[in-house]
Amino acid sequence: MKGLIKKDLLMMKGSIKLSMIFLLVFLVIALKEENTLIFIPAFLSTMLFMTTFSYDEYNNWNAYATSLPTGRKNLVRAKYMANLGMLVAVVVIFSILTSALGVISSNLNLEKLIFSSFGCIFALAIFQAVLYPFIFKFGIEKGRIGILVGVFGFTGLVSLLKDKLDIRLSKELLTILENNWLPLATITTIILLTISYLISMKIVNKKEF
Amino acid sequence: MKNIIEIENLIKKYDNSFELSIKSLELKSGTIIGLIGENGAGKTTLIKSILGIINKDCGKIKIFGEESSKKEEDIKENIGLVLDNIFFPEILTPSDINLIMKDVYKNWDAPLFLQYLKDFKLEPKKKIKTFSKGMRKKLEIATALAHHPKLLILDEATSGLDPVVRGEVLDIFLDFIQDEEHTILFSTHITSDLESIADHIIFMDEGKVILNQRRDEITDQYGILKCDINDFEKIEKEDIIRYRKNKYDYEILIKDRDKMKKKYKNSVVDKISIDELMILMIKGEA
Repeated sequence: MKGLIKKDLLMMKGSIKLSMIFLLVFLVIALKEENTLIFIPAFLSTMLFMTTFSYDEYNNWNAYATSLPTGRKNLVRAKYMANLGMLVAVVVIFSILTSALGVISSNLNLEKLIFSSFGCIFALAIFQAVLYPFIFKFGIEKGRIGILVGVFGFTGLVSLLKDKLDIRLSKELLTILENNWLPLATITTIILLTISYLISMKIVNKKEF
Repeated sequence: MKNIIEIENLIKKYDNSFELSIKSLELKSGTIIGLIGENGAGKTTLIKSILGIINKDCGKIKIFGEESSKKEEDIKENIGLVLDNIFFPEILTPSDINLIMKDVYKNWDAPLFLQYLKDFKLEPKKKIKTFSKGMRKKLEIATALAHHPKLLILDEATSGLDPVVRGEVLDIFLDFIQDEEHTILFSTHITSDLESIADHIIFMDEGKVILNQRRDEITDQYGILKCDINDFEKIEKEDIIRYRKNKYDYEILIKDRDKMKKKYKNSVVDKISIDELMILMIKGEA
């Protein structure tokens, strides 16, 4: 699996220059906008990682990878691990940089920074969990369309139901959620990632390249 | 000689009504096996089934004596691959491939890979997308050989190469086969390549193996009998395997050349090339 993760990261080295420019821009913004700008670079890194799927498809890499000793299992595992690893690395780097900037400018809001960092990891990990089975099933292009339809459809449905049924969370429940957001979000993310991984594994095992 | 690949009752059906169906097939170690047949005959489907790129509907495939689905990792450690239009993403460089493969194959030999790059005049730091078709093939071959495989599976490995490069590549394959433990399964349209290197020919048509014989037996036994319409009518039906009517003469695929030469003295009986054999078997009438 290490080799396959390495492959994805090496494929992204071409984007490093572009990422450095983004990094500078976001750091300048972060100086002015307190500690809330971790999400954008993390989201961009996830989007950049998606390009590895396009290159893989173009050169039928999955067929080649299936024929290597690493097999189908590691093909899926490596994608999840590489993307998650990169996401965590970007968030950690930006958290350190923003906190350093915060200290320099005496503008550090540590609680907000921690919340942004974890929130960002959870949100994008869940995004990955939802997206990957679609990509493994339909390929990157159709997968992207599928996820857009899925996300907008789901959001539309939830807001429709909310309006129609007038669903409101009780104050007690909101307090519990607020006080325990970190363990709850961690467990939810892990469960969703595990389900997503198992679905992707099933898809890839059946897939013919 | 040991069996390197054993296939039993392999079936793979597609929606478009194509069906790969192989009752029994054994490939011996220490040989170069040429897999021939026209486009869509099932060569790539067979190779993909062997490698597990596609899932078979039923049947058994054993590689190195082990069932391919059970000891997948160990089996694939010993297989080198050059597949048609299937490789690393072209944004990578040969150096990247070296770094990646160190963690993929236990036996990856980085100095050997770099030596191949040098021999093939491939720039390690250049992206694959800047390489010509021939250079890409050479890189694929270097990658296939650099972990000391016992079995090389080549799907159209020489197509698109100019004659000089093709010659070089065939020499590499001949070097590889010097070790009796080594085997090459070589699928190609360029049958002239097989005439010079293959020990064994497997001929596929419509998903089935229609000929499976040593190359020297094929070239020794089979022949092409050429005659005009009058002589054609005198030839006994059981002597005709396949025939083709040309503008001025008939070409007939026959077996037992010497016997046919004596039997039909007015006709010309020539040796047959694998190309001619393939054309007559596929396009000829029975």
